[in-house]
Amino acid sequence: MDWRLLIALLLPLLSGCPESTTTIDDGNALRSEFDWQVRAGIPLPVEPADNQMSEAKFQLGRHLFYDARLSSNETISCSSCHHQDKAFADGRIAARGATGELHPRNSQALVNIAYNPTLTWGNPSLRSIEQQVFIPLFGETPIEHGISDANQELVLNRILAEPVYAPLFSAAFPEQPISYDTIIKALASFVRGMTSFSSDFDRYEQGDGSALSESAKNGMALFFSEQLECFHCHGGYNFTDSVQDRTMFLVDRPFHNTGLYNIDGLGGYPEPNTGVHEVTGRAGDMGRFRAPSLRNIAVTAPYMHDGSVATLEDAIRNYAAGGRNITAGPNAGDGRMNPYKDGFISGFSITDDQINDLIAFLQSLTDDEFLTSARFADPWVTP
Amino acid sequence: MKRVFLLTMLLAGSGHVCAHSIPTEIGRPQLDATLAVTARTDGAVASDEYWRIPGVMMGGHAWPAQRGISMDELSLSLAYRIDENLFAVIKAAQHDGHDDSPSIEHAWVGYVCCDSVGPLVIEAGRMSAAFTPSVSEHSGARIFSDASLPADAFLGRHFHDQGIRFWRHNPQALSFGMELWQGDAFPASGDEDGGSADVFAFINHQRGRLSVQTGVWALFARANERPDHRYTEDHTHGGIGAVPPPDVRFTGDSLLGGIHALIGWQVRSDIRAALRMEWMQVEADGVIEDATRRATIDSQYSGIVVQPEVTIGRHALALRAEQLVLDNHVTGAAALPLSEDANLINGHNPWRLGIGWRWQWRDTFALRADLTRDATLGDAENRAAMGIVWHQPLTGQRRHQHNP
Repeated sequence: MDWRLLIALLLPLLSGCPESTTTIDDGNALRSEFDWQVRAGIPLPVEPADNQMSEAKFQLGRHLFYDARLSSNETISCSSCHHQDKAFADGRIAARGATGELHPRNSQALVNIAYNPTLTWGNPSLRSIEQQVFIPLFGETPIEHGISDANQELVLNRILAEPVYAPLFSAAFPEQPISYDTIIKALASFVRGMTSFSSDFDRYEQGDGSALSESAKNGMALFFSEQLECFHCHGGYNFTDSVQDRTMFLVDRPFHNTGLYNIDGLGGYPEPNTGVHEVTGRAGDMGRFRAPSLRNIAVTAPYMHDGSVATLEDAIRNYAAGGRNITAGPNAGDGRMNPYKDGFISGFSITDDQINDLIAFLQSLTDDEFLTSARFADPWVTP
Repeated sequence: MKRVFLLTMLLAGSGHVCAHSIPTEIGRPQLDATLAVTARTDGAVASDEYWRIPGVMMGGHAWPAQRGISMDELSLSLAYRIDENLFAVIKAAQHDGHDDSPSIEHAWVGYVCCDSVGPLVIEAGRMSAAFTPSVSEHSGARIFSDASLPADAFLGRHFHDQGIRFWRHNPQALSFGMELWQGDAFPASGDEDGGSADVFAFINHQRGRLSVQTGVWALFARANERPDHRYTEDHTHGGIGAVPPPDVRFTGDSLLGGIHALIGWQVRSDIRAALRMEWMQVEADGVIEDATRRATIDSQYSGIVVQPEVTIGRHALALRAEQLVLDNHVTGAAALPLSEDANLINGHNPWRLGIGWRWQWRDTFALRADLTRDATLGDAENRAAMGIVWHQPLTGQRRHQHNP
C-alpha cells in the first residue's frame, strides 16, 4: 500500500505543503581560515583578535615548540615537558627546568587547550595561551626555559641564525620583525591548534556502536550516573566543566577542591600548591584546581596538580572514598574531611569490576591519531 | 430500535467525552472510575530512547507509546453539586510514562448562575483546559489508544493547570469563554515570568440527521527557561538511556490557534458516519539556551488531524491521519549546536496514519484495537495495539458535558 498516497488523500489541506525545515544563521561562527580538524558537532574555539589562527603560524610554532635553542642553555624546549606520546604531558610527577629546578606542579597535557577559559591549574586570571606561553619562557619561580633580561638577546639571535626560520616567520607574520612577540604568538598558535577528537568514544558518538567495548559502555553509564557524579566536573565534549568556545555567551571558570589534602585539619594544602588560594589568598579558595580535560587521560599519568596520584585506579578510589586520607608523612591529614571540598566529592560505592569498566571508558578517550600524528610531531627530526 | 440508537450515539460521542463536567443533582456525590489498558507490539521509540520529534521542542505529558502492556489511564473522579449554584470536582489519575505517578489532576470549584443569559459559569482551581477537547479528553474515550499528534507536539498532550475559567455555557448552542492559567502546563512555564491565557468558542448544532459540533480557540503562553519536563525533572541525568538528551530550554512567547469540528450524519438508526478534524497553528518566538549558549528562534508550526469514522451498532471503525509541518529559523553563533541539541534539525513532515476499531461490548466496557503507521521520527514504522477500556459511573448521576 502506498501510505503516502493514502495520507495525501486524507490530508488534502497539507498534501502540498513543503517539507519541514530548520534554517540556521550562525553568522559564520563555525567557519575559520584555519583547519581546526574537529569533528562534526564540536564547535570551534575562540581565536584571539590580535592573533588569528593561520597554518603558517601553526607550523612556525611547531618548529619553535621543539627547539631547545629557545632556552637559556639550549637544554630544554617546550617539548621537554610536553611529550606527544603522552598527550603532551611528560609522565613525571613534576618537571625540571633548564637549571634543574623542580616545578612544583605536574606538567599538564596539551589537549584541546584552545577550549580552556583558564590555562593553569589554579589561576583564574590567566586566560590566554599567549599569556601562559610567556611564563615558562621568562618565569623565575620556577625557572623553566630560563630566558631573562641578561640572555634574551642571545637566545633571540640563535633563532635569527637558524635559516629555516626566516621563511616561516615571513609566512606567518609578513613584514613583522622576528621578536619575542611573534615567537609567543606562533607558539600559542601551535598549542591552540592541538585538537583531539578522534578517540574510540568519538567514533561511538558518531554512530559506530562497536567502537566501545561492553566494559567501556558500562563504564560510560557509570561515568554519567548520579551515583558517581563524574560528569558534573568532567562533562561536555571536552570532558571538563572548564570550557569555552565561540558559541558560548556565558563562560564559567570553575575550580574544585577534591579533598586531596587536609594537612592541618582546617583544609590546608601543602605550600605552594594551594590552588586558587595561591592567587587570591582567600581561605575558601584553598585547594581549588581546574578540572582538566579527560581526553587522553589514560596516557597522562601521574595525576592531579602535583602528580601525587599514580594511576587512574588510585584516582577513582580517592573519589569513591570522598577524598584522600594520608595517614603518615608531612602531608598527613584526612582530605575526606576537608571543609572546602567540592559537594560532588561525596563518595560512592564501587566494585572492582566497575572500576575496571570505568577505566575502560577513560581509555576509550585516548586519541591514538593525536599521539602519533606527524602534524604535531617534531619537525627537526629527519625521517 | 431506540436502544440501538442510544448505543450508537454513545459510541459516536465517545471521542468528545471530556475530562470535566458539571454535576446537576444537589447533594449527591457522583463518582466515576476509568481504566484504559493497552498492549502494543512496538513503541514510538525503543525503551532506552527518548521521544523527541525532530523540529519541535516537546514537553508536558507527551510520553511515547510503549511496547508491551501499558496503563494509558487510571482515574477516579468525584463531582459534587453543593447547592443550586456551587459545585466541586476532584480527580486523581495516573498515566503510564516515565516517572509519572498518581496525581491530583483536577481539584476545582465552580459557580453557575444567570440562566437567562447563559448559564454563566466561573470555575477556579486545578482543571483541564476547555479550549479544545484534544487536551481534556479521556484516553479511554477515544477509538485510538494514542493521543492526537498535534496535541502531543504542541500542547504536551494534557493541559492541567491552576487557573480560572469564565464562560457562557450552553451545550445546545453557542458557548464561549476565557481561561487564565498559572503556567504549569506546557507550552508555558509556571514561574513569575510564565503563564498562559486562552479564549475559545464552540457551537453545537443539530438539524435532522446532521449534527455539527465545532469550535475555535487561541492560546497565548509565556515560558521562561522551559525544559522538556518529561526528561529533566527530578534531576534525571541517567533516566531512560545512559546519556540523557541535552537540556536546552526555551524562553519566549507562543501563540497558538486552532479549529476543531465533529460533523455527524445519522445514516440509519444504528449507523452513523462522522468526520472529526482539528487544525492547529503555532507561532513561537524567543531564545533557546543551555548553561552557556544561546540563540534566537522563530518557529512556525501547524498540525492537522482528520478522522473519518463510522459507527454501526456497538462497533466503531475509524481512519486517522495526522501531520505536522515544523519550520524554525535559528540565529546566533550557537544556532547549529543548540539546534542539534534541541533536536530541531529536520527535513520531513512528521505524520501518522491509523485505522482503529472499538467494540462497546458492554455499556461500561469496551475493547479497542488499532494499527498505526508512524513516521514522526523519520522512517515509517508499523505497530499494532489492542486494549480494554472500563468506564464506570459508580453512582447514578447526571451532568452536563462542557465541550461539544
